[in-house]
Amino acid sequence: MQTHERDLGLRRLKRITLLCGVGAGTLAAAFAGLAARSLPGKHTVATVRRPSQVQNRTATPPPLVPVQAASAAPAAPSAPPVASSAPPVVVSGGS
Amino acid sequence: MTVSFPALGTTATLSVVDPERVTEARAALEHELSLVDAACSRFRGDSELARVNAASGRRVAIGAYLAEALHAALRAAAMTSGLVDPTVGRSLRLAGYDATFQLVRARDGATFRPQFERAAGWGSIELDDAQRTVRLPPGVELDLGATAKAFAADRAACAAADAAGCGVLVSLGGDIAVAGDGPAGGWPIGVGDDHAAGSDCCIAVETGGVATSSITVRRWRAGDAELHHVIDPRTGRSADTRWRTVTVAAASCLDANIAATAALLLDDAAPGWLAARALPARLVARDGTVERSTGWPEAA
Repeated sequence: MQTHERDLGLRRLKRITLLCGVGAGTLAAAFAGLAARSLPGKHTVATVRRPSQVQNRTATPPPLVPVQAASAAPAAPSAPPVASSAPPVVVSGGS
Repeated sequence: MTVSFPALGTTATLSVVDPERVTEARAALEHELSLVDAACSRFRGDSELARVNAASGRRVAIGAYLAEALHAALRAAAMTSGLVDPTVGRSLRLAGYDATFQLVRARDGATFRPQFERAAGWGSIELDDAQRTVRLPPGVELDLGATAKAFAADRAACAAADAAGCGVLVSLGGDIAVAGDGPAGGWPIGVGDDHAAGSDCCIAVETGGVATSSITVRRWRAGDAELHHVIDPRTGRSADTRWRTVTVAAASCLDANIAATAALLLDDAAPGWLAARALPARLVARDGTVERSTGWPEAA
């Protein structure tokens, strides 16, 4: 009788140990997948960079010169011109 | 005292307040003219610009003068949203302006067949200030006609005034800059369609510059059509505009010239664009009617 109960207890313990092992493995796999998704490794970075490198080769390069802001405008004179009756020294016209 | 002489395929005029200092002022002007011609001429095979245009996509080392002139051209493009674009060189050449204007005018244009190609756009120019190099994509050609003369006039006026120690006026084909203390009442300047012809009115300026853009000059025959040198970079064709001549006064000759050329290309939008920038301007329509922006004297 004692031997039978001991065998039953051992089988129960074996089943629990097996279930714990399977559960631990499942949890480890789940956590590993979660970690891989939230902290991408080297392979993911390389995949992201490759298309941007291709884009850099084909896009028109921006001017390297620091062109003044497009909002800049031709500046007005400090004093506007006035009408004159004097003989002109020169003519401003097309050339 | 005023002297005039041929330069840059047009006329250079120098006026000085003190006639005894004209020699020094003229030497300074001629030095500036030699610099701009060697750097920016599209028709001199040995110019820096010709070398850049022929580089077929290679990076080219350039001198300080061309670097500054390119800055001025890029600034013009930025200020006008690309209307005044230095990459119209190829468009001009294909349209027939492919040699000095004396040669273009002299040839028989009846059999010439122009091609029209829009400009590549100023964003395609790679100017490296640190290395002082420039690179154009293959097929892109520069023309600095819209800015280089005015840029040179501003520089020459400052250099001549420094050398002479008195007020000077410099005109390069009607692109006018003044520097130093001018005559009482300002420099009297005529305004018209053609700098080499008579003027329609006269203004006086004390500072800055005055420039005129006109479609009545530098015209050539191309088959059945007549073309002119103000190219619209969006189409590669001579600008189709209601204005025949626009004159602008600004803080510098360069700014005046940029605004005058942009106004021609802006067509109906020109008066509003000029007014928004408080630029005194005189606009002559094709039918001869005159509009003046705020700041331009009513009597002129």
